[in-house]
Amino acid sequence: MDEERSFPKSSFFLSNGAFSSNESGEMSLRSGSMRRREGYQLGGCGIAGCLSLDGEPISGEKIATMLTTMSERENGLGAGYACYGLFPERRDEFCLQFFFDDEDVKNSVEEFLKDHGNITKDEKVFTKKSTTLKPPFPLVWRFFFRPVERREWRGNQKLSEEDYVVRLVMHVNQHVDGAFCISSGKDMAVFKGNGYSFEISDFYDIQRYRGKMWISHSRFPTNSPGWWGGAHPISILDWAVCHNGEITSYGVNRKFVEMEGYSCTLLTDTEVVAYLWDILVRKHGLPINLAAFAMAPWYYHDIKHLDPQNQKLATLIRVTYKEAFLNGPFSILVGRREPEITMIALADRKKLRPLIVGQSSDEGMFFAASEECAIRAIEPNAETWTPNAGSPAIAQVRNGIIRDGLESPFWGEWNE
Amino acid sequence: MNSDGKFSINGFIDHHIEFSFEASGVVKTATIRADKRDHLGHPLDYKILNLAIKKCINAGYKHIVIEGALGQRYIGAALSDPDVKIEVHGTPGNNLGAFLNGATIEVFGNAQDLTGNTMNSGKIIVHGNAGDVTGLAARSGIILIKGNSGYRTGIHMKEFAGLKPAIVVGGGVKDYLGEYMAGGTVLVLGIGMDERVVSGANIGAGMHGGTIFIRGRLNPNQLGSGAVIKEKTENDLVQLEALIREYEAAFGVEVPRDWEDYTKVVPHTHRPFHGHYDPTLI
Repeated sequence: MDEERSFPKSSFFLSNGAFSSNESGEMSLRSGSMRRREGYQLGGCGIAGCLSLDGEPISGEKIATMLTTMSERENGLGAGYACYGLFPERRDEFCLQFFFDDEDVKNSVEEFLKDHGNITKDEKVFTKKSTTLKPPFPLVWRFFFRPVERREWRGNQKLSEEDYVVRLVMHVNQHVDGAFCISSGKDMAVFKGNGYSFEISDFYDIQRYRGKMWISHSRFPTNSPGWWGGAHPISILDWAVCHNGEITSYGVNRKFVEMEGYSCTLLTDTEVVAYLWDILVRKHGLPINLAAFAMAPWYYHDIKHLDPQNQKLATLIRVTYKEAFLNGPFSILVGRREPEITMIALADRKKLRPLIVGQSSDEGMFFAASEECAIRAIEPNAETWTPNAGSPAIAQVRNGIIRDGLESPFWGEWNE
Repeated sequence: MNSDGKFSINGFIDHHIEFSFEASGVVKTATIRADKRDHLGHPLDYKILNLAIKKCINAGYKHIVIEGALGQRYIGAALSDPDVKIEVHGTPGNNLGAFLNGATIEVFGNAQDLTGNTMNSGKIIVHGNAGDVTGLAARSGIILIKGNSGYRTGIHMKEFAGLKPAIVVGGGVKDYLGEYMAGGTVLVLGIGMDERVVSGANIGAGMHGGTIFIRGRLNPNQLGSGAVIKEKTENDLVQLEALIREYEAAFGVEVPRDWEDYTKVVPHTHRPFHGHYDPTLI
């Protein structure tokens, strides 16, 4: 990705984990970490997620097991976990989690938030002191926040509370040096950082948390830097996205989300995917399968074979949302809380990245991962299947598997 | 390797591997337990597992059982002794049997992606499903999948001087079956499936050799660029019969011989790019 910033906005930006060449010219990743392997490994990001179909909370230990099983897929330059259904007692408040360089930045962001709403509670996010990660670490802080209702939410601007929070987050990410908002949804939080999946789960002590859904990611950065803010899940409001692959249409997609008032500050292509979901589904009200179709559409010569009504719908989506089309190879896991905790697993239209989903034998849990071994690691007897290219598998807490990813995009029958 | 089933790699004793040996029969069997995790939660490292397999083969064990495989890659890669058989329980990782050169690998579970990558000869039997790009660039040997296979099954297969690879899939496959195929045979049986979803789109896209057989209904718009449907010949039926027998022997099931349901897909031309190359453009 091309960098717009000529100097790091944050002091821990690229301060650890970025590739650096040592004298002998070979890549060294990080010193001082307990690396299992030396040197450059051929990899590819790992994604894993699990969702409780019956509403029983899932311990963070489960998702960490899933993710660390695919250790071949990561190289220690980022990992993260997003947990949903985490704060049921504060379910109507936005949970804003930040990376801060230091206390001073925290205080200034706190003042900023107080000017724009009420902080009902704030606390340091638990992180372990002793870790194999290379310092410096950001200060990870959590604010429970209620924006004060404002005139611009109504009237001709058609803004909502969510739009307002997006603006606050964008402001901090763009203009406050040494601060990044890493998650801003209700009843959910993101725990991520620059390290191996086992290091990050240990750093945040992931097993202390229980939630109804987890999605996670272990990173193998290709053309964007590995740093704390660039680790996945990338999150805005209640959306979180874990992504394996590349968005080659990043430039076009970025223009599109910027027109809608989002700013890309995390130096990674996945960021646009999170904002696109927010725009297409929350702001424009598209059903999830249509939003997925906009991002991973059929070819026109395939659309021709749909029945006339679906042909028209497919064409309209392709034309209307041509800037939302994600080109390039990807498989993504998307988490969402509204109106119910939902997991979406979607691969690009040519299936150029691995994705497999499954269901536990007692039908209480839904899984999605890059590799089957991640699912087998916690559920040896799961039933697994592969969603079709460009066809989202969708599961929802208490509502079961809404789409198994094998259907036609519009539920229509294949017409001869 | 010492008697209590531990062995040393460069002076490093690995405690994950447990061996048990059985030499009572004609074939010496070694069992490797691969399901223990280290203190960081990682499964057994694939390098150590594959080294253990090699050590067992060097020690004269022809039948090697792996218990509790969990995503370890390259299992059985490049093994060339035709008498060696690797039995995998659990879920092997990507590139199972890559560059396989004569041995037999049997998986009692599902395989992941890239099964039999560039295999040279030998046999891979999977009693469950296989993932994407199964049999990528295979040069010879046979891959038998009882269930389904994913996208790009048989991509880039080739044949040369009497060496012909074959892939038989009992269930269905997804898009791009036999993409860029240059030789060999892929047979998709569609057993127990809705005939409309036995195969996906773009069948044989860019193929210029080899043959694809699909049992089930084929819509002509599923064919990729350069692939055409052709009538079967007597010779094709002989070949089909041989492949079906291999499949039946491996899985103990019976496959219907309703030959009219088998569709044959071949390349339109063996030189799809003929005339596309203009030396004056350089």
